[in-house]
Amino acid sequence: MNDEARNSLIARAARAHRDASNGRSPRAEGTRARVLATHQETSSAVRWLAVAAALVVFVGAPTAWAWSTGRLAEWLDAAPSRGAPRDPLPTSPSAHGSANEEPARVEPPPRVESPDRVDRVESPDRVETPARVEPTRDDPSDEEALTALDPARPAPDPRERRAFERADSLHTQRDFEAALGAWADYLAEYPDGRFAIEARYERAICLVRLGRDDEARAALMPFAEGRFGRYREREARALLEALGGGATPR
Amino acid sequence: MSATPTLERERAASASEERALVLGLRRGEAEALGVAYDAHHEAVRRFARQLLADDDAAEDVVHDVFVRLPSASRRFEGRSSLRTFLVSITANVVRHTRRATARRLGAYERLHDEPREPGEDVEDARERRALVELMDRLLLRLPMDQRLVVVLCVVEDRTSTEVAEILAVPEGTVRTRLFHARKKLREWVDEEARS
Repeated sequence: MNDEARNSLIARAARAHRDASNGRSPRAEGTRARVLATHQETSSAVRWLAVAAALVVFVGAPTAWAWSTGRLAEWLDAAPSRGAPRDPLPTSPSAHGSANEEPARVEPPPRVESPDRVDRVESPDRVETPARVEPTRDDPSDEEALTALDPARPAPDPRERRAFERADSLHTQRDFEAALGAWADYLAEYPDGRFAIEARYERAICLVRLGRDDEARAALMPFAEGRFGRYREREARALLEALGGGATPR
Repeated sequence: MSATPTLERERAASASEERALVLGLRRGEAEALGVAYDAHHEAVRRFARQLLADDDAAEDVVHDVFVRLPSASRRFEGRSSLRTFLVSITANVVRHTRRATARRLGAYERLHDEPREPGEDVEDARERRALVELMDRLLLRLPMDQRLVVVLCVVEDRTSTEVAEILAVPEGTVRTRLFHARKKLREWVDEEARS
């Protein structure tokens, strides 16, 4: 067979192939329906992805930024929520005036304390009452305090808030025995929690109220020494002086 | 020879309709996809069947091509017709398909069993079937790049310029592939004749 005959055969085969491939497929309608169904599924998936992407961009990214910069907790605190624990409220001009490098985080505004609380602590009969020293499971340490001061600490979760609320409520009701346990529970559960510094101070106040002076002194000392910045530093010193029985930081 | 004014108007109207169709496809409109399918599915299926020699695989390719069309239409610039663009998508889909291979073998066996059309001349039908089988065998032996060129240039009678656009390769590449493919086809035709 020469080249011309071969080419002719190939051309005829090609024509026959083209003719054989022509004609409407009996499955054309089925494939059409399948195409449109797949298209609809894909379009829905794309729409959902677009919504998810928008959420990530407009909600997730700012939240992540806020979390990474430590502002998320402030946002959450600023948002009104039922029973959410607030950072301790400012009580005295001295507390307001205590400046710090990071006032919002390191030095949260202190709790309102009625004068009688302090007066009663400072009354001689309370201070002179022999205290029963009991070991505590959560005396603050430098390391804990430093960790609590870490600006990158995470925002409180709802359980942490509830634990804080419970202790705060007991404290406000002046049930210091129960409040002491609740503050200890909070600190045991959230030693690096969002409100750990406040909880340590309030626990110290409970110890003072209960006449457990040695423990109270130990609990107040870090504040008087300024380990938590200026937060409650002045109050802690005053209380330590009133309690006596040990060296007061300068 | 220039086209008549009527023909020009028809072409312009057709181009305008196609632009509207492409816009609908870009917006992801199901109606536009249905219109495109109705207008072009046969061309896509034929091309796929020629490349794969398998009806089932061709049907899958038709599905895949039209599912891709809405997103692919964003790249459509209107320099060629939508049908040519669809053939280009089909070539890409077929290149990447792996499903057809196993089915091809069965396709030959089924071909022998297909019933003839009533009244069809037995000898003519036999010869046509033999030619189709021969072309299937030859095409399936070719590498996909050369097979695409042979189907487009030889079977579908497209120009090398058009094929170059469809395959997104230089025209010279099309000619080179066609040259080597034809050489192989002639050798294999000889082999077939000897066997």
